Amino acid sequence: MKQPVQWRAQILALREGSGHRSLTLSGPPAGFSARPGQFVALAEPGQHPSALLRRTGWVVTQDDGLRASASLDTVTSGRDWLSGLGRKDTVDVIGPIGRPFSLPKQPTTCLLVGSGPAMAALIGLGRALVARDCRVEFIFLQSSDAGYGLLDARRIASATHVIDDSPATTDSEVHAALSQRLDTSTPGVVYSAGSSASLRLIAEVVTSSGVPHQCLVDFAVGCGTGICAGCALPVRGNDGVARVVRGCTEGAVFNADLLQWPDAAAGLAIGSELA
Amino acid sequence: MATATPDMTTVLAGVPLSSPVLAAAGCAGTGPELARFTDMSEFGAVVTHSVTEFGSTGRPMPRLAETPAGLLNALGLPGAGMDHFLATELPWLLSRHVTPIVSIAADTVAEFGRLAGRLRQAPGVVAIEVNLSSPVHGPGVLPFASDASGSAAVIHAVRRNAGTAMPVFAKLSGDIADTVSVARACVDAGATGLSLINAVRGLDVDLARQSLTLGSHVGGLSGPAIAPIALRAVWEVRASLGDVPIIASGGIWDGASALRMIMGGATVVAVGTALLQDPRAGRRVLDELTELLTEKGKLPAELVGVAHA
Repeated sequence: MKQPVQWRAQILALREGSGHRSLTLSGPPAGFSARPGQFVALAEPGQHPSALLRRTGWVVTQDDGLRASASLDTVTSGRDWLSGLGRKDTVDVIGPIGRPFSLPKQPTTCLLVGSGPAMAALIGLGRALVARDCRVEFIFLQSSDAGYGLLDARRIASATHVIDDSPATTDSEVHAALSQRLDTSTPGVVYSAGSSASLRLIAEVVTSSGVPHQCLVDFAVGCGTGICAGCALPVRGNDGVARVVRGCTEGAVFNADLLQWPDAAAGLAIGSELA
Repeated sequence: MATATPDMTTVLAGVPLSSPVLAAAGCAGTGPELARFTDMSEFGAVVTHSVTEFGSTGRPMPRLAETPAGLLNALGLPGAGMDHFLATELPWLLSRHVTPIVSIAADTVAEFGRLAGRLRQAPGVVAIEVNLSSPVHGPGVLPFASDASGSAAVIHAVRRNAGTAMPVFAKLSGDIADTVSVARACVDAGATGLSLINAVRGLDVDLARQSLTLGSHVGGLSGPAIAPIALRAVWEVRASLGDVPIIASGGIWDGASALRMIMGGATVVAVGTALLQDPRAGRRVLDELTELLTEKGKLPAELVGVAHA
């Protein structure tokens, strides 16, 4: 089956959370297959939508309908249609999108760390890793127990930890807590997911340890098809050349060593001529 | 008795097209992105993203912001440059039986001329769209289309380098106070027709960050919010310049908005932002337009400019 595909889905179930909604969507077409780290792009259906961009839905599982976690942003005008949806409402879905996580060839200890709705992708990944006889530990960077995925993680993982990243906590405190956990867990690979700011902090810790690190960048998806180039991220290619790639089609999973973190956070690397 | 479906083939500046529904510049990616969802050859033509002389990564993030019924973008014309376009993107479009109209953008008149010269002998290119109106520039820098003489200088250089046989369309801004004067200057300088309109300059404030939303501050507003502005520009140019060929773009979202542009004076319409929200929107707009024309028992060309009667 040629992927990604586009279909009109009904919301079979939804769960509210802090800063996110978990949606179970009907009707992934036969042959639809999302791997951990891939996502769907959700649009308001109908000929005259109030919002013209899609929303990222991080895929958790596709066992009984497609379960995805979508972030909400009701600050900017026109971005609130997703929060108004209820059960049996419909959404236009495109997916699966993006590159999935690479799984280890041999069983090993895997540390899955991140925050926000993108943790949904790590939940799906955690299941896949356990199925491969890997030992899975989760670290949630969040200020409470209300974030997405904590209960699921506790069912899946050998250990689940929460590191407080509330505004009262300094980056150096989070840095120290992550370093300590990395030393204790001695993972063979680290997988992370979250905003650029969170991932940059995680990458600083992991890079110094030399452990392979794949990260999934949670970004505003734009069109979700690679057309609009609105989700550009600065990277350094395997050839050493700096370039800008589209988060949707060339991410959202990256080798953390290749992302240009300081510039990704500030958006400053973009605007130069290509080498 | 069933009404016959009208023949949707259209002629734009002497170029036969399979339909009057085009893909607008920058809204079909480089081709393969959109082709995963729709048959690109179903567009009457695809206006490419604006090709620049050299590659550019585009403008800083964030690049997109939603507004009521609209979309602000400040992409900054990302692309790999004309060499890459001719070697890779254009052959791909032709291999998929796409009719390409190549959009070009530059910072200087000389650069526009050089780009046009590169397209003169390029296989399969049926027309050039000259982007005089990109809304994203440095502080205090206005698009060429803000000024009639500046626009005319660009079109003159493009015409000289593209040759007399190549149809040349000047893409103008919706921001300029006197669209007709700039359009007339472009036609007098050698433009075959006009492309109306580009995104309209706009601004957004992020309430949470208490700062401007877009990395480049000013962006271009597109989507249904600008449809009446585009229709006004099309109508004014048609009223003043007669049956000069016009590619209408700006907020075309359905068959009705497409037909309004045609009745206002557009020869063809280009679907843009709608493709970002729904990659199948081009097919839908064509089907709806066909249905409306079927109801009226008219061909597309028979309704061009009828709102002026």
